[in-house]
Amino acid sequence: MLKKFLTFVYIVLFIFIIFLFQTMIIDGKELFGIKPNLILITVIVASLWYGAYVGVTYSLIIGIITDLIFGNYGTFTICYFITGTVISLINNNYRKENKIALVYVTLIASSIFEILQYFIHLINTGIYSNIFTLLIHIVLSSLLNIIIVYIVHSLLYKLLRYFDKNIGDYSVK
Amino acid sequence: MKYRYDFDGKKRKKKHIIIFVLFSFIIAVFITAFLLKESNNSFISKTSNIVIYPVKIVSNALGSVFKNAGVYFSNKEKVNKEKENLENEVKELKAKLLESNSILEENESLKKMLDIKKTYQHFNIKYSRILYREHDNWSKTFTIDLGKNDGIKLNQAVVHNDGLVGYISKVNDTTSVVTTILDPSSSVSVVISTTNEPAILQGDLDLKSKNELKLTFIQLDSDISIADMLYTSGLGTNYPNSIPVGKITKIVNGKNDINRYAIVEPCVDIKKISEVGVIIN
Repeated sequence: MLKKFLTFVYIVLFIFIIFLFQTMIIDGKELFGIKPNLILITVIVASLWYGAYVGVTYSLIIGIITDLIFGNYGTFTICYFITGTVISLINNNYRKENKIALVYVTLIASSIFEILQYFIHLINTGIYSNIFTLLIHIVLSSLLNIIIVYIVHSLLYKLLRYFDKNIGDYSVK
Repeated sequence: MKYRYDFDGKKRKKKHIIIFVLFSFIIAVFITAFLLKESNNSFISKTSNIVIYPVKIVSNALGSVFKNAGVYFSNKEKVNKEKENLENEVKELKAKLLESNSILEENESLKKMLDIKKTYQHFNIKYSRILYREHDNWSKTFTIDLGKNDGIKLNQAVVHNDGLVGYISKVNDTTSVVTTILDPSSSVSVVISTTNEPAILQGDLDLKSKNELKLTFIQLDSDISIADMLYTSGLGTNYPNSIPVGKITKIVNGKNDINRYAIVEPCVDIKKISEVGVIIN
């Protein structure tokens, strides 16, 4: 019981560190105006690894927390929720320990996230850009997220296996 | 099949005996030579010295090894104490260095704030630090550490030493969100320095990544040129007049002059700033 509780504490701490890293370090740096998104990567991994229930709940909670921090009136909640749901629905088609599968899923999730962000921004401000700009955003953000996922894949895999061992294996078989 | 008489055992026994005898003989020779080295007979003493010479070398070598080890262990404690003292000194110096680095940084930041105050001395300005920037790729905002409790209100102008940064778009109790001039939803009424004509400076999604702005609504007969400076016109409610905003870097002529626009580089590098001033009144 104590072990489970401690593991939950570690999960919360891990999410807190990811947020800190994203807000304090990564959001200040950009490549051609695009930033990588560690929070999206955690949503992808949770949805791919744990399936629909956990993935959807996690993405909803993460979206709410992001909106509370950045004050975007629910935009991130919707974006993360939809992305997490889509990934959870297609997770049965991919093996979770496969690096290439994670790369494909990251590409799909980043594209969905950027398209949703674009449309929400369009609705909020009425400002639109040409399709070329949208495509560049999608390509660059997917590329940056894929690079990060590829590098941290083995560490993430070990971490999730550790969580599975201590909490109980909720991962998708 | 075991034989009564152990042939192999006997052979082994013989071998052991031979080795023992040889070893005893060598020891005996050395002892004898050692005893006879002081003999009056020169031949015997010379022979003995030759025989025990290798033993002397080995024993001298062993002696020096043990002597050095003794010196080493006796000095070790002294050396350890000295090492500890030096390590403590290094730690103290490192801590002092970190302290002086942070003091230097604070000094630089205060100097920047003083520069902002000097530049905008006729305004009432409150200084703040940038806490964090926007999370998405479609806007250009940041959050500062001043809010309602500090007298911040919506639409107040935010400036830096070099020029205009943006305006307050959202106010919380202790923090506020600043929408910068690079944000695609932002537009600033400006005056071109050389011609004194008004125009609108807008953020653009395509130009945001290159840190550039778009100057639109340029008068048809306007004689603008590259390197013309732009200042706020004071029209509208957001920005006071005469704050530097940017410099024209490129003029793009459309098919009709009506579509003419210019690319502007802002005076402030918004990606790199960490302190800003909010114009209260």
